[in-house]
This record gives sequence, C-alpha cells and structure tokens, in this order.
Amino acid sequence: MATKGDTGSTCNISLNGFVTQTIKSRIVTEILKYLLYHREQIPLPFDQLYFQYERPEVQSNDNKHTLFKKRMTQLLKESQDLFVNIDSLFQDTDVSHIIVLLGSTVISPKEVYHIRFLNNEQTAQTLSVKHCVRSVARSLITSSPLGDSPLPPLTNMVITAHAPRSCNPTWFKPKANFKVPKMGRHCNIDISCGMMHSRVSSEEHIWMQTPSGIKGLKDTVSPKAASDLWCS
Amino acid sequence: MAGVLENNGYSSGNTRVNGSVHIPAQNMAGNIGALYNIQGLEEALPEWELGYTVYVEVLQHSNSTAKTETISEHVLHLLHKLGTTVGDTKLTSFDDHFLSQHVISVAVCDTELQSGHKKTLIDFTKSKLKVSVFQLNEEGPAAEELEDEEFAAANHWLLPAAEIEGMWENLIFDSSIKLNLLNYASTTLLFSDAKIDPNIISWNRVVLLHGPPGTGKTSLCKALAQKLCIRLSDRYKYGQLVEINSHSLFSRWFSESGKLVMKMFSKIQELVSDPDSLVCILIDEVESLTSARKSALAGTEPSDAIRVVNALLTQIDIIKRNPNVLILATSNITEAIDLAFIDRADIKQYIGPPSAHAIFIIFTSCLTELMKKGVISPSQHILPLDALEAMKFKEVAVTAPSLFLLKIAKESVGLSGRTLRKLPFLAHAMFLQTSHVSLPDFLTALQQIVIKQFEERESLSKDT
Ligand SMILES: Nc1ncnc2c1ncn2[C@@H]1O[C@H](COP(=O)(O)OP(=O)(O)OP(=O)(O)O)[C@@H](O)[C@H]1O
Ligand SMILES: [Mg+2]
Repeated sequence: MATKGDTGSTCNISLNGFVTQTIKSRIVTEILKYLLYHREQIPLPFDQLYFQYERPEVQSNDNKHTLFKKRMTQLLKESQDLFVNIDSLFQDTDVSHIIVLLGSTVISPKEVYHIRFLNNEQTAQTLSVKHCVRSVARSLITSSPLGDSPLPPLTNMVITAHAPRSCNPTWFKPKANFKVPKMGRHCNIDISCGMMHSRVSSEEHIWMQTPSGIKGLKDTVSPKAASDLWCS
Repeated sequence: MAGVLENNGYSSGNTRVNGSVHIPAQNMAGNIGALYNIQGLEEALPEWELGYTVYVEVLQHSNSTAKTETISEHVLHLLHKLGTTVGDTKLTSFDDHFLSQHVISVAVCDTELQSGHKKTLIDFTKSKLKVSVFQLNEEGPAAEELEDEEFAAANHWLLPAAEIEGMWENLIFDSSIKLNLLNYASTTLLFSDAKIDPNIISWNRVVLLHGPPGTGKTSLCKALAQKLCIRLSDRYKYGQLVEINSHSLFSRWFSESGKLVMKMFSKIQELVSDPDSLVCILIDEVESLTSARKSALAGTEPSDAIRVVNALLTQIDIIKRNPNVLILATSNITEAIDLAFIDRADIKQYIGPPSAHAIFIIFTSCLTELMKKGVISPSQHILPLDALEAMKFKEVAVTAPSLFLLKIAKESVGLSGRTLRKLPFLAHAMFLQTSHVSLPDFLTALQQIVIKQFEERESLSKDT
C-alpha cells in the first residue's frame, strides 16, 4: 500500500540567472519527458521514441502498422499537444506551481511531483534554453527523485497547474475544487532562478487540469521478434 | 423573455418558445382547440407545495472559471425575473451575457417527481430554491490498478461525470422509486454528516436494487450517485463512484480473489478517508456472490470461496461505518441473492419492467429525439398522459398520434426498459429505412416491431 501523506524527497535545482517563460515551459516539458521514461511509462527515452516514430520520413516509407506503433504515435502526438499547451499557458499567465500526477485518477495518484519555480533574484545573467535544460537534466539524473521507490504500474499521467482565476484557459480545464491529494508518494522539484518580471499578483489562483492524461505504454510483444515476423 | 424553455411537456404559449415544434397548417384549427384546452388545464394546475425545496441544477461550462456564488446569484436573478414555470424545465440560452458565457443549462428538476408525476405551477419568488452549480468531469472512468495486480478490479469515476449526465431524467419508473431512493440517500448522508449517534437512531447505508434484466438497475445506481454529488456539491468537494463488478472479482481463482478483495477495499478506504469526498460504491451483479458460495458447497474449493465471500461482507461492514459512503448493489436474480448480503441491505427495492404509462413516456422521449434530429418529420407534439386525460381521450387530429402511441405502449407491457429503448431503432431498420418518415408511419412500424418482439419471445421460450 502506498504510504499516505508521504512528504517524500526533494530535488533542488538552482539556475544562476534569469529564466523567461519560454524557458520555464521547456524545463517543465523536459521534466515530463524524464518522468515518463524513468517511471517506466514509455519503453525508451522520449526523444528517442520521437525520433523512431514521429519523423516524417519514418511515417511515409514504413508500411508496418502494428497496434503498438499506432498507440505510440498517438502517445507522442498527445504529448506534443500537451507540451504546446503548457507553453501557451506559461506565455499567457503566471504559473508558479505545476503538479504531475501518476495514477488512475487525480484523487488516487500513485506518485505526485511538485514542480515549483522559486524566485531568487541574485544574479543578473540571462540564461539560454540549452543551458537550463541541461542543468535540469543533470540534476534530475544525479539526484534521481523517487529513484529508489518501487515503480508504478503502467498508468495515467495528468498535469495540473496553479494559475490565476482570470486566465481564461482554453485547453486546460479549471478545477476549482482540486486540492493536492494526500495519497501516493510525493516528490518536490524546486527550481530556484531569477524571474524576469515576475507577474506575481495578489489575485486568487486556482488549479487547471489537462483535459486528458497521457496513458503509459509498454510493448508487450517484444519489438523485434514477434512484430517483425508478422509484418515482413 | 429570459431564455428558451425546453419543457418536455406542454405549457402555455406565452412561457414557451420552442422552435422544434411545428404545427402543420392544416391542423391549425384542431391545434388551437387543443392548446385552448391545455391552457384551461394549466390554469387549474396544482400549485407547488411551498414547503418543498425546488432544486435547480446549473451546468457550468467546463472552461469557465467563474465562481460558484457569482453564478448562483445570476441564476437566482434570472429565475426571479422569469417568475413562474410549469413542471420540470430546462433553460439553455440566456439573455444575460454572463450566463450565456459561463453556463450551459439551468434545470429546474425533480419537481414532477416530488409531486407524483404531476406538473405543478412553481412560483420562484415564493418557493425555497436550492441552486447547485456543477461542472462535468470529462475524463471517463479510470481502471483502478491495484499494486502489482495486472487486471483492474474496479472502475473509478469522478462525479459528476459527462457520461452519466442525463441518465437520471431518462430513467422512467412508475411509483416513487426514484424519489424514495433519493430521499433515503440524502437523509442517510445528512444524518451521518450531523454525527447522529447510530446507537440511538439506527440507519444504514446499503441499498439493494433487484429485478429482471434490463430494467435500469445499474443505470439507476449511477444516476443516483451523480444526482447526490450534484445536490451535495456544497458539502462534498469530490464525488466518486467506484464500480465493482462482482463477476470479475469472483471469476478468478478463489485463493487470489480473497487477496484482491482486501486490496481493493484498502484502496477504497484510502479514498473514503478524505472527508471532502463522497464515495458511492456500486457492487454490480451481486448474485455472483451466491454462486461463489454455492460452488463452494459443491465442493470445488470450499474453504477459499467462503473466505472470499466473507471477506467481502466483512469489508462492507467496515467501510459503511464511514459517514461519507453509500453502498449500492444490484442483482438480476431476486431469489438467489446471498442471504447474508440481503441481511446487510437496508433498502431492498424491486425494480420491475415499466408500466404502460412509463413505456409511453419512454417512447415519447425516443420519438422526440427522432423529431429533433429530423428523422421523423414533420414534427408533431406528443401530448403527455395527463393532457390526454383532461381531454377525456377524445380522438381529434392533434391527439390521434398520442393516442396511437398510448395504445402501442399498452401493448408493450412486459418488455424491459433496455428492449424498449432499442425498438425505435429496430422499427426503422426493419420497416422504414428512409431518412424522413412521418410520425404516423413511424408509429405503425413501432407497433409492428412490438408484435414481433412478443413473437420472438414466444419462440424462444418454446425452444427451451
Ligand atoms: N425504466 C427505464 N426507463 C428508461 N430507460 C430504461 C429503463 N430501464 C432500462 N432502461 C434502459 O435500458 C438500458 C439498460 O439498463 P441497465 O443496464 O441499467 O439495466 P440493468 O437492470 O442493470 O440490467 P441487468 O440486470 O441486465 O444488469 C439503460 O441504458 C436504459 O437506457
Ligand atoms: Mg446491470
């Protein structure tokens, strides 16, 4: 049974410089990709899967259509959608806290990741996307949040973002009643960085949830052996 | 005029704006007569008993971030401006810019249930109103995986769920089954929320619906859970429905099932431990409990099977101690339900096949849908039973289709709700097949298909 109200681990990442909203959304995207692979919701690292399944040249000259491939293409497409929408949410408004929930529903998660951007305006340096993404990746790999806890089964990944009530989301669904669940193992990913012009307002924030989750996917038939046999 | 009224019955011309009802020109004279009659009837309408609360359910747009209180205020304002309505009413378009931006529908519901299937004249300015604002969860049911268990033991819904929306209104029963269940469940939750000592006043929280197949038991459980969550949304932040299929639970090896039952209930216990959650547990097809016990007696794996059944019963006893839990069970076979289970059920409600009146309403809803979508055209108004009654069932041009439908409904008694909802489709597929059908032609086909149903039944029963 999952331990209740587990405060879990914390992973501190500090970026010595200012980050833009674009960088923030890229960081979140990278963390999602990391979680999908490292919590074994996808069989290979995200970018590698993308390279294998989503390139136009692969799509056109490959006529093998296994069920797995179809689902994987679907998953990649949904993830891209998610990333695009996360980016536009960051562009539109001030998001300070993102929660990634792994589990069948938002109230019964197996694992909960809190991604928070903490303002630490000590440096004047402006950072590049590349630099930020790399340092986040490095920190995640070295500190390996929840790395020693048992893996969840193949399940659903839902993202909620804390944003001002007035932000009028189009893709995200407002969930005024959402509260951070107590169930599951929790892990904090705190990113301290300088923020350009922090649009922090006194306005009330509410939770916005992705309209559908990303469902984990495993190739049950071993990829080389069976599928190749049937398709060639 | 504050909005468009979608009133599934009749109402007088000045409160009703409904584009979907066309009165064919040649029938005009007859219709005016009919309308006159109905209007006369409406003046004589029974008034809403002012002691009862009028429930108003407001469906908020899923993208709307407006506050519940703000929406409530606007809705109350709208209703006061509207003044009165007749029977259950649904508003779907609004003059108020704020409402049209944030709200999909405002429904005055269950007033007909409350006043015994009668339409009453409701005065919003005098009645006690309870406005519940809700947004639908569109994610669908999630399979609840158990730790290191491959198969899903239960379906987990967050309520109010988009799939269940509309189910409650579309279930038609004769007696006050729906009202009784709703009142019973509300009182249970109220009592336990008020921490009334169960040793002084005992009440329980297990409802068993039993009856023949296809009579709407499973649907009623789901719809009830949804209804409660909407009505109690100011008390409980989250509504949940955990749907356990006993068949899948008991079809496994018994030795494994025992473990499964424990795991599943420890999961449910976790959900229940949040006092902001209202958890409805649906144990569908509970008769498989009995077959589990029977096969135990037959000697295959005796001790294991009994252990599983007992484990389940014990877990139910434990889980129902929580104030925010309601257990709903259904069974197909009335005689064969496990005695120990029957003993735990506080309300045992028999659900039989619908009566002629209920069938008439079910058919009316089907035909109205077909008219709305243009399959049956031109559309004609089907009069509700009390209007027909008031006109002493006299056959004139306006009443003719309704009276014919009533006749078909009477001939259909004995068919289950599930079959009835399929008949319009079958009628079309077997006898019509064109994209536009007139109502009289459709009714003739419907009558034929009803006769065919009974013939098929007969031949089936001969075979066995
Ligand atoms: N009284 C009724 N009014 C309207 N529709 C009904 C009624 N009874 C059944 N139906 C329709 O029949 C369908 C099947 O109902 P449901 O599955 O709830 O029946 P059930 O009693 O659980 O059947 P079973 O015993 O076979 O499990 C529903 O989708 C519903 O639309
Ligand atoms: Mg059923």
